[in-house]
Amino acid sequence: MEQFYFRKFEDRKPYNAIPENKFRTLLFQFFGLLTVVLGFAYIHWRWKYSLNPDALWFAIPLVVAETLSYISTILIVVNFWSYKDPPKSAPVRYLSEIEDLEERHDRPLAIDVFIATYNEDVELVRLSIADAKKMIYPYRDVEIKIYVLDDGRRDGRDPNKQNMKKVAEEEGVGYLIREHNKGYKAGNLKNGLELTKGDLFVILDADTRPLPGFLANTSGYFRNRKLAWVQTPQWFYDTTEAQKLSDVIKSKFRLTNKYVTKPIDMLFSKISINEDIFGNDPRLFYDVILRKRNFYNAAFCCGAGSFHRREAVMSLALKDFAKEINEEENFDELTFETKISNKKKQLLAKHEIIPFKFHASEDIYTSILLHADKEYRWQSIQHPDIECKMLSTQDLDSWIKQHQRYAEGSLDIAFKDNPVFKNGLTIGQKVCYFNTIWSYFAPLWIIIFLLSPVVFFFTLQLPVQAYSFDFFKYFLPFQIMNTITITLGAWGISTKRGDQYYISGFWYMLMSLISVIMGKKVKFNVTPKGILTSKNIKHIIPHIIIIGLSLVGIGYNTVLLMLGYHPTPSGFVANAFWTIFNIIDLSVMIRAARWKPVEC
Amino acid sequence: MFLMKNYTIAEKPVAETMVNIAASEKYNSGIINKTTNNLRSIHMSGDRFIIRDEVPVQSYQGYKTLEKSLPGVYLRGIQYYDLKNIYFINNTGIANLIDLLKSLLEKNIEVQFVNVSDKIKEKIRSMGLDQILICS
Repeated sequence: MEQFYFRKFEDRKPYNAIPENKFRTLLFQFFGLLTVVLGFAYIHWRWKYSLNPDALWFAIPLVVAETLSYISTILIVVNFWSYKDPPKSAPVRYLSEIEDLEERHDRPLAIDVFIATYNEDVELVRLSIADAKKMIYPYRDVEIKIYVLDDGRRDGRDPNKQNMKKVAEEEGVGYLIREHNKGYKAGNLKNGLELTKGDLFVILDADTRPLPGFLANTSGYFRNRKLAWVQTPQWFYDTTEAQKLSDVIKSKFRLTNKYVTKPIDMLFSKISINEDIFGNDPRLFYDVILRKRNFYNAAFCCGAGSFHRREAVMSLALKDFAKEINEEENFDELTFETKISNKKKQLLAKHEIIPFKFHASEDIYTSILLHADKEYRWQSIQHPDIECKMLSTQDLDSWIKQHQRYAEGSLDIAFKDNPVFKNGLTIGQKVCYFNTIWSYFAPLWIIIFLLSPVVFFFTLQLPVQAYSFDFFKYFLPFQIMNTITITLGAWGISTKRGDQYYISGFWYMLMSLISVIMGKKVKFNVTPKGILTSKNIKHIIPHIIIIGLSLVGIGYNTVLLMLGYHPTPSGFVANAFWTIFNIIDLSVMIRAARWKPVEC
Repeated sequence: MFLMKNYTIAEKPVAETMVNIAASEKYNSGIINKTTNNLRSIHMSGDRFIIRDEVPVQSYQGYKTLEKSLPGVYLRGIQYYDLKNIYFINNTGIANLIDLLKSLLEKNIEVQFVNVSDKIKEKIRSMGLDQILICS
């Protein structure tokens, strides 16, 4: 068996969910409201009193960018408003515990576990199968069946491909395929649902390894008849480890002489770098952002690690099917002795019953539609504890492709079926979904924030009338309160990497936005698993350009200052500090592009 | 255990079909008589249309899988299925019926469901599927 790189992380233990704390929540709400008020005061002052009338071409884009960014601040305060973790409950056993039986006999439940795969290494999938088989459930009469849904059709027909079917048979689990790839993963799941019969089903990716308590710790939620799905946090247990800066320096310059290495160790060994260099740790997302959406019943499905009620997705599929058929054709009343209608036949052949929307972001799209169902009023839960582990992207190219898919998928939904205007969603749900979509418009203001200091350095024009006391009187309290608010809202979780990637991800997000606006079809790119040698440089060219221009600008302004020709020294100081923060944020992606694992 | 004779009937010529209808009516009534109140849910399984239910077995603790065919008659290009003893259908079951309909339509066989309970008719109607799944 191939020795996988992540084997060395097998002993890593998942983090514990941050416990709810009512006092901290109240503090957050207080500071959050204060931040919104101070932010409004700042933005108002900026628009009304601070614009440089001699440089409106510069001033207005910047204040627009700040205003758009302020909207994000408001959305974050709303999203982070409160916890509402559902009470935990014992595992379910009988159908009557999750559904009204009506005329049916009661019986033990059936649970299906789907492992969706396409082209992943079969031995990697074997690990996921093995862990799925180790899941514990207290009731032996509950039928738990595991199926590999292989969209790569690796059943031995192609000798050049690994044989996934053989692995499934060796492990004693089901193996399901279809003869096409329509609908990507959603289509694969549809096929799986057609061929199975579980009342509940779990979705796992090829690399998703459930922990033993997955089913037992989450099935109890389905006692709530309205619960459509439970999402568990996706824990990436293979994020890059922190490296000592001294080791990195010695390795990079191949230093072995002890008279050189000893002082390096003394100076730099206490400094750690490159921990989670790709910003893969989604703890902030699952343990804060999505978990706090339980308060609004707005936690959406993220695919792997989710647990579903079959009847929920089938209700959506049937409604969509009926709607499409009835919108397209007005049927005449058919009599009892009816002839075969060719039109009906064509119509039915054209439309399918699709449980998960055929879309690159099938998970969030289906979530929106289920939440918007006025008849059933489906609910969802973000379970706080980690119940599965997965692999993260190990190179920048794979990371960009994965996040580009997320961005394009969400933006596509925003332009074609915007949840803000969706009937059936509550206001809280609309705000939360809008928050997700809004975050993908961030490159529009981030690029202005990155370029503004550069524009100043080369034009010597300020966007504000002056960096006066008034400016800092409004700006500093807002920024300080904002920092306190985020710290309270994301208590116990470092937001450093997230902040850095929020800025440095501007380019791929901008490209995604342009791609969707231009009508380019959103592709479902399967995220490669494993360490790949790939060309990452193309992703950081914009970053290098901006850093280069910034440094040249600082150099130029420094010379002017030293010669006494600089018209606004205070402006230079403010923009120089701003540039330093920008460079620190942008550099993380440059380091990620150049990162190589210690062992490969 | 009865297995459903489905589209194989449709391939026979009309004259034979009439004979088969008479035979199958007798066959169907036999099935109907044997059908118990235990029929509750419908599942598709591969190419067979089977009614499956888990019924408690009194002789020992446990559940027995009971499979019965859905009685049907083929007449003049239409396959009729008798839902007389079906009292409940869920979303999955309705999806199965639509899949059955689509499969048979591909073979130019229309499908109609007879003796459908008012409750099931109402469920199908409320889903906007009453023009697709013809019930009487």
